[in-house]
Amino acid sequence: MQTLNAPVALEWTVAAAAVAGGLTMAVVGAGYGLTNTSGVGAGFFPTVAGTLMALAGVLWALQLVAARRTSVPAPVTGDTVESLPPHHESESALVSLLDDDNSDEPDSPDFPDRQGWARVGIISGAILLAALLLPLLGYTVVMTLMLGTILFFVSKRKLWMAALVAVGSALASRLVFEVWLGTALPTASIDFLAGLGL
Amino acid sequence: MGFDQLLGGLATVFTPEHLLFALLGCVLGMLVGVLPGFGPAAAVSLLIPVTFGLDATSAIIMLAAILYGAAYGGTTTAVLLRIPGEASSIATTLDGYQMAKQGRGGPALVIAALASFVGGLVGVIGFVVVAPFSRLALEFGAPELFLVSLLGFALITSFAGSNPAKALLSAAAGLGIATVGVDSGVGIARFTFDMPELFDGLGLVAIVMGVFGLSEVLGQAQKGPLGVPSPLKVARLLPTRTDLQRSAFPSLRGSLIGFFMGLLPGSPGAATSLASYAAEKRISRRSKEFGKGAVEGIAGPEAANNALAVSSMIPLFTLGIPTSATVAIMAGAFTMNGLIPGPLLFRDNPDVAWAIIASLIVGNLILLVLNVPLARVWIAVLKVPFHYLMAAILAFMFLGTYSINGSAFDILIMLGAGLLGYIFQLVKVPLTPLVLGLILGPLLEENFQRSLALSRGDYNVFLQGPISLTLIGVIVLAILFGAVRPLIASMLKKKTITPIAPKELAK
Amino acid sequence: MKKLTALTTTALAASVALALTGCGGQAGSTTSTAAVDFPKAGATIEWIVPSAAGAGNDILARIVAPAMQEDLGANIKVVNKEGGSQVVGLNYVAQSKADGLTFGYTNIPSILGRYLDPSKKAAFDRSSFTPIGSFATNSVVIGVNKDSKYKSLKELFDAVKAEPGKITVGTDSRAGDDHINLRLLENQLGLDFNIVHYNSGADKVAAIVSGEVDFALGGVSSFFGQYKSGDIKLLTVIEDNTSPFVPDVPTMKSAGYDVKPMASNFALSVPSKTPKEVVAKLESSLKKAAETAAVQEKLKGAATQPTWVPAAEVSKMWEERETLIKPVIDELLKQQ
Repeated sequence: MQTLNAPVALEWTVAAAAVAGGLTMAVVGAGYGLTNTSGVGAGFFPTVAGTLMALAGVLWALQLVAARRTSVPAPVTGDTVESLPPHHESESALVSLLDDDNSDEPDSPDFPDRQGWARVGIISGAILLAALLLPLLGYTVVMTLMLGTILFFVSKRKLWMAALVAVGSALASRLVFEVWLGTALPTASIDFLAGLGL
Repeated sequence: MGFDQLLGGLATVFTPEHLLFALLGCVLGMLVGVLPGFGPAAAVSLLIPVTFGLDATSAIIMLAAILYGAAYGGTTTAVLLRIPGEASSIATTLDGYQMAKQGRGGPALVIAALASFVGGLVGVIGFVVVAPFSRLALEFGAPELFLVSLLGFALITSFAGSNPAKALLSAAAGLGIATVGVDSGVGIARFTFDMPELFDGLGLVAIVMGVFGLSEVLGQAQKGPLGVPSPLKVARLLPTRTDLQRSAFPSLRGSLIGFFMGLLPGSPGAATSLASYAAEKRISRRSKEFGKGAVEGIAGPEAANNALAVSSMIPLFTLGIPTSATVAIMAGAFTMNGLIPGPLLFRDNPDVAWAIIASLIVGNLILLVLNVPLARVWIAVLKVPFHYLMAAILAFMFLGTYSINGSAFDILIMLGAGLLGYIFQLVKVPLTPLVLGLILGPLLEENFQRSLALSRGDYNVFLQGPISLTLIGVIVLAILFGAVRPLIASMLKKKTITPIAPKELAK
Repeated sequence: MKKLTALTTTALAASVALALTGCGGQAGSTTSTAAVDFPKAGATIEWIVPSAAGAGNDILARIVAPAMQEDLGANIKVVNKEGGSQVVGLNYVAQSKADGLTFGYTNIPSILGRYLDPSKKAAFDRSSFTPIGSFATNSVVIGVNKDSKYKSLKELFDAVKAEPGKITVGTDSRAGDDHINLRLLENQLGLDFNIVHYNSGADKVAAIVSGEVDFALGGVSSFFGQYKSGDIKLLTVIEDNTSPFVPDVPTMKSAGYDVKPMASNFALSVPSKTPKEVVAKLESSLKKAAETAAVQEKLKGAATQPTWVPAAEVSKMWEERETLIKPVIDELLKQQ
């Protein structure tokens, strides 16, 4: 029994999530009513979408099983299915006429290591917190904190540099959006900060 | 109506005053359009107050210029940063960003500008030719629009990548996300968890910015180490002769596709540029290069986009009906300036009407002239070290997403979509089917329900009339070509090259 | 050239205003002392539009706001808060500080549909707002295709009576004003339409022009262009007196149907706890702006009737319309 490496494990996870999510969507969707006096009800499309999603997940899982079985000797890289060499020179004219190998996934990023995950986590966390704190702390403070965090922890800038750039961009962007574009950016709802005009 | 009046209109536009406002509009529109989240509609409504106090012709020339200036601004970020400023720039990200990565950002931007100009020009010429017959477009009622959306779904096979199961997953996820919100037929809140923010569904622009833009930033950031500055290289600025030759026909075809789609009521603008992309990919002898930096993949969609922008004005000018949110804002601008959009415009104010139509050509020309040298300036953005550029991109996406609706909730949606897009990329699930599902899902559902409401539950409504029957025929053909042809090909391929027969093709 | 100077002046004025708000701040709470000199010079007042930038609502706000700004000597910013069928923006107004620095559209009757439907989860009702007046109205009309076989309202309604549930009518959205008004008509006149929902006023108008639906009901502004061009024939205006806007269209009353006027009002409100002096100040300023000739001209251009309705009357009308419409909404909810 061979242990799964990280990319394949993630593929399995997403495929499983698709099946689970699709089934949930289909069941909940069906609850909205599949039929109505004239034609279909509100639940029809969610049910169709959910079923298709679950079906796609199952197909994917089957592919993963198949890929695992064929490539037992070789190390599984997770993209055995995709890594076909473009062997079109050797094909007949008929094949190349009919062939329609569409690849829409150009050089997807390499799989992240532990630090890679940490960087993705820090960025996402910073955006999440910033969005949640926006009504409380106001735009200027939130943007400064978000940029500062990202510049310091992810871009590995020196602390003073990160702080300087963060404050500068927060103020500059507020100037552009409020003064030139005339849109309103949220201000702090804490009285102390609001009093400072933030 | 005819070309004489168009020439008359051109004469009106070529006064210093009108040219100045067209220029001003292009520049303002472009600057606002570059900000992610500020599409043409938002740019025009933001800048409407700027036109108060101008005479009607100048005001509308300027607003029209803002409109396509902003559309062009969205292209810039799509190419350089893979952030589609609006949904219709998605197709441009596919090859444009790849070209930028290969140091061919300059040619990509210039090709985009040229193709946009071609699209605009074809649009205006078509305008003059087609305007008298534009009422025919109204023959596309709810059942026909349902079939058109269904045809759009056949496009997904063009974006499927090498793995149909993953493409299906992506499209189904898009369809599912599209059903969030209050159902248009019965009025039931679906998947809203009692949150008012979800009643109108998830914002398309927020999702698109997340799925394409944020996921890319995450993908780059994950690679690290970001301490080392690694700006993208910038090679030559202008496209080569081959680039131009390869773009010529795609631009023309894209223009025609865009022009036709713009005439339809409630036309899916964002799906149009993707349709053009799919068409080019099918036709091209270099379809393998698509998604890896093929100029055809920029020229077609950009031309389609701009032709659509022009032709979607036709129903407004001839019938007074705005077919999209963006055109609706133009309609507002007309009425505010005391002009009633519709056939009366040509009767009561023919000078103004033709001047505006002519200004569409002039504005596109201004954009072209501006953008060839400007490409150099935009490209300079890529020389910024990534550890700063990344922070700036994140700041702008945060701001832009907030500004769409003035709501922090959209930022959360953008973040969620970004993480989804990032995971999808890690496991090589194509992203375009998701967006296509998201755009076409509501059109499909609403027109389906509306058709049945009109016919009181009679399904024959989809089979009536020559348009419906033709569309059904085209859908069948598209499915045959999209699904059956590759299947035959794969079976043949299996025979010819058995040694490395791919596993999944055997299915 | 004039344009450029105008631009720079606005930018300058705005930046000065920003600087001033920055220093002045909003430290003052909602006590009445703040109301004495409302608004502080250079304060920023937010006009909340609960729909997207460029929507009909939004354009009207951008017409009226500059005139109010001039009168108040404060900076009025039109802020779009779209979402939740306007509930998000209305929530924002209802929950904002009652200091007069935030007001927003509370259009009647559309706001009723937002809070009378509990599934919309609105965090407000009528008592959450104090109106400051209504600057424009939009009469409700019924229109048919120019080639329609129904030449008069009576012919149309007789046909509906002859074949209940057969005659199709378009609305601009489900549970929107059009839909509620149609249900009111059905109830009051004992009719039964086949109601088909479109996505916007424009889509609805397209359906009439193409003949996809038999007739449509809606605000006169959405039909105005096609009415002028003759593509759409207006059969009636649901008012007691003919509208000066469409003077040749007969009223519903004159056709022999006793139906209350359905016009919608572009009303503005502040949160209900706002001090009286502030409300009065805003009302007088809105009135002045609404009665400015240039503003009226632009409103008419946007196919909207400039009609000033004082705050007190708006309150009264709001209450009346609520009583009238509540049963209809309850009934719609039961059908789900």
